[in-house]
Amino acid sequence: MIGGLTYARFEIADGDQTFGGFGGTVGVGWERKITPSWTLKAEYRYTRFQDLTETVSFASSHPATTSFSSGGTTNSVSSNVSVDTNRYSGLDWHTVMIGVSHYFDAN
Amino acid sequence: MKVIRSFAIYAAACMVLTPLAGITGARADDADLVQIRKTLKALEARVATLESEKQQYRREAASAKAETQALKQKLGKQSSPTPPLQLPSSGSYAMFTKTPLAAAVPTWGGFYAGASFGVTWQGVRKDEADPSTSNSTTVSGTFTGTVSSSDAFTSSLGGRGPGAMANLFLGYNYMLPGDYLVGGQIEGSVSNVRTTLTGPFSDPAQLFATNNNAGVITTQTTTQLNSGNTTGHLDNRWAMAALVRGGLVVDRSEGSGLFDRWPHLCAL
Repeated sequence: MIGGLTYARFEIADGDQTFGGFGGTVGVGWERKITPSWTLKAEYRYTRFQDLTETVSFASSHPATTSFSSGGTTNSVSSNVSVDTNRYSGLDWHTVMIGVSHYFDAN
Repeated sequence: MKVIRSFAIYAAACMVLTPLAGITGARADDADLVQIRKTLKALEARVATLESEKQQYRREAASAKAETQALKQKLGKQSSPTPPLQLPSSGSYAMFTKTPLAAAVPTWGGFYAGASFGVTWQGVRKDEADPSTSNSTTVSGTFTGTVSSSDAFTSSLGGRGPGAMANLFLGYNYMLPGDYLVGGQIEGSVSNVRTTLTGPFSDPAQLFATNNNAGVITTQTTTQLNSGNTTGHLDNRWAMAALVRGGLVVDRSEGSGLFDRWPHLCAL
């Protein structure tokens, strides 16, 4: 059995926005000696990350004054407000891996 | 073996020269010659026997050396101290080595490091809400115009997709009685996991416009609903983990095939 804590970094919008999250990992595996100090192993792991909420707020205001040659003047003000909230839930990994290990104290 | 050979040559020389010394200056009779020939033949036979034994000893020595190396190798891999081997007071080395040996068990304890790679299937659900509002006011002479708009974009996406992952790890195992082990491991990984998300979206929008042109007021209201399907994606490029693990060495029997010598398994 294997278990513990995993931290992963995620990207959205091709890397323009990144955020990190922690998750719990559990797994089972099999490992065998192929020499006294080297082993071959195979593992399956399941990692479930915490639900994540990312909020991006945007606000802008643009006053403008335009004067005309005829003597007139136009004043304008525009404003925008947005709040983009993304909630990631059920984020998980199913991982199957094979690997080799070297045991330094095997000899 | 050099000692044996030297002794044989010395003995032969003595046995040949001693009778000859006794007849110096005189002709040896036939009986003496016959005796000398017999002695020479006996010595030659003895030398041949010793040479044969020498070859046999060499073979035994080589065999014993090989078995010694094998024993040292097996003893060196046992995790627990083993009492020193007691050689029998009599009998040959070969007889001792024929005694059945306990299975040598390589240790799983101590520090270890390694690498692994594999496939990760990443799944996620993404719910997005992106409400926005905008207002604008324009004043030009006797004209005043205001425009207010709002929309409430929402989407609900989901998906699962695979990606490759490579991992480097460093850990330490501690052996417990009963072939159990516990350990800790830290690791870092890089990956190219990309999950494509698909799902519906909805984006209702409203617009209110009011114009006051020298006291003449006009208003306009527009409502619009956009909806459909949209896509997105979530990528993972790296991760790290701190893990504990427990295992049981479940097989110490001699196996067959490729891993004849080290068939030992550890279930994690």
